[in-house]
Amino acid sequence: MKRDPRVKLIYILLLTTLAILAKDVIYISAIVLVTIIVNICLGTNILRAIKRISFYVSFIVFITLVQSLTVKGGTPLIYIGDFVFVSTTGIIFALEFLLRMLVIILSGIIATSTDGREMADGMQKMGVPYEFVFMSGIALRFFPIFSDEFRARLNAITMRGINIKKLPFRKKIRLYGYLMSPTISGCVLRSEQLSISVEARGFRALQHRTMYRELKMGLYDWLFLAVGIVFGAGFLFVNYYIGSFIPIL
Amino acid sequence: MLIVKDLALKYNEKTIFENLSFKLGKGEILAVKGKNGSGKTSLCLALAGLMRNEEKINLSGDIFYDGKNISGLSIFEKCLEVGLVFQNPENQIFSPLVTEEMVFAPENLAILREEMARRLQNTLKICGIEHLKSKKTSELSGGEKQLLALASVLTMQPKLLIVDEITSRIDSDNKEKVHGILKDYAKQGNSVIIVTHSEKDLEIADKLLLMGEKTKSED
Amino acid sequence: MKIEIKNLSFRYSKKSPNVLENLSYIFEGGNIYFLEGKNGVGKTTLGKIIMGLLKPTSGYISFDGEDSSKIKPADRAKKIGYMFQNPALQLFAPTVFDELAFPFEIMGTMDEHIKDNIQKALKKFNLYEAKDRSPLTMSYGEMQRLALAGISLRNVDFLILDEPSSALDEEGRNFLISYLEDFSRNGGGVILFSHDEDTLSKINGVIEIVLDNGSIR
Repeated sequence: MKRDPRVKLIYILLLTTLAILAKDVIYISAIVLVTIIVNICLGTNILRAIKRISFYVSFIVFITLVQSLTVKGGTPLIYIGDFVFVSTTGIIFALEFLLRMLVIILSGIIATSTDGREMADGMQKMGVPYEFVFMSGIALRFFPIFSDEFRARLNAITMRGINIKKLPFRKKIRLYGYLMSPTISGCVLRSEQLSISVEARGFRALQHRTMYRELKMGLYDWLFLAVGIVFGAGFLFVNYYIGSFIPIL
Repeated sequence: MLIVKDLALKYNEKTIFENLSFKLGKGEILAVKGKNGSGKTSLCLALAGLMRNEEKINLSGDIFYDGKNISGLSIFEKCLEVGLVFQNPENQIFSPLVTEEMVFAPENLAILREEMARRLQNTLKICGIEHLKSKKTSELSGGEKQLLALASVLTMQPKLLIVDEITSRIDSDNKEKVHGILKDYAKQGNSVIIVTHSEKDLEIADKLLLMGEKTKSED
Repeated sequence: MKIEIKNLSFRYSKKSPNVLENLSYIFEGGNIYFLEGKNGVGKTTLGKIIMGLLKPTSGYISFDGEDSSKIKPADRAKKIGYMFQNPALQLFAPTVFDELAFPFEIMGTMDEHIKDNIQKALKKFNLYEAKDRSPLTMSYGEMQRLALAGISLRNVDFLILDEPSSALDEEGRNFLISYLEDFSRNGGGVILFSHDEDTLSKINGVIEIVLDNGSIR
């Protein structure tokens, strides 16, 4: 289902805010479920997206485990003598963290599965200054540029007859250290040249710029948005009126 | 009309070029040739008003566009007067999509949507890159990127078009096409400056500027 | 040295069309091959496949009869000097001198004889004045000369150069041509991927080949 990027932006903001404001794991779980439903409605491939960022997902799981071990309180579950390894409060805190991160990841998937230009146009239409939108877009693009440049230089080293994998650890570290500086300098130089080239094409020439892409909210966009707002309002009411279902033990 | 008077450039006290004076009228094509390091790219930046204001850089002399000194022009006015296609398209292309790259300049200059669409279609056709319209810029070859870099400045429709070594990575068919594009652009009443090492590029020029020694000559 | 390509095919992904299709050709040492082709036809891709930076979808490449699939890219580079289309991406040392010295230092083979060779290469490629400069501040043409200088320090049997003259002035171009002719006279093979007709017209005994529709004719 193709929706106006402004609807997606509002949903991303709504869901991540609700996840932060949610009182306990039950509320956050509800937000997780809703975020999954929104992703399905928007036609994003959640599993493929999570696979692509599996490194970060593993990192988050690791932090979750650390939290469960370091936060104490409530009923001890795993302990030796007086030393408590895992407690109910630790598990609850860890779960809350994990679920909130899940909402952020799933909301991020909504953003990344949308054409960057569409999102930029959506943000502009919502009143975000173009310079900010442009710079955020360029900054995001510099991550792949940085890694492409680094990889290209690693290839260049290989093409000088150096088998990087066979190098001793110390030399390998020295090599990577050696590459960081020109890769960063390369990116800095590139950004300088890019700044000249965008100025050459009128960047910030005028207060207002026009947009090639026409954004128009259709009936389904408004309906989708209305459902989100009603849900958000209802959620906040229940969240604050009824409060937490899980007392801190 | 472009008038350059006594233009000189020093970088860290080292003279890159000096005593540079020439004129370029509407419909004329000037070829700029010279050794590596003779200041051709720096000249392009100076003509486009893009020379950075740094301590190490000392640019003196005057550049006039239709009687107006370039130092007094706003970014908007400069863009109407002059467009620069960079030597390395990697330094110019930043959008993920071809069309996005091409409409960047018209959007900045607040060109209306219908006119933008017309310029986009027209320029895609002129540059022979209609088949690349829906492509991502990361999928383009070096030569295709060079054509896109040209196209994304042409949508700006500047009165003076400066192209820095544009045919260096283009195949022979496309080279002829680029020559045709530049000649047609000049015929429409615009001026063109082409920086080149290629003998074939010189064939389309009306004038030649040789750089490399401290004194310059103009043919 | 002989590089034999047999029925080589390549595509970037399962959904994309074949860039190279059943390509077969033999490149022999002692020859200079000028490989032309339209933009996007796959010249750079072919170069990367020969060097092992990309794996072919099907087909076979051999170096003097030895199956290349068993030869790692770094080992191929010991026999074949490869110059990227964008020389800026293959330069990374703080100075021009360091750029040439780096491979020997990292492999622990630097000695006085090699230092001497580096000085000679700097003079030969007209880079001596720039030896303490950062390669990233050089002009494109100077970077191309530096990349070639780096290759010249290794005793390679073949050169694969991707657009080596795109930013060279007349002097640089003439130098490149005489260097390549010298290299091939000494038995080395050269494959140039280029659109530069000025260079093509000046190389003696060049073999002009065209990459078109995925194969060489």
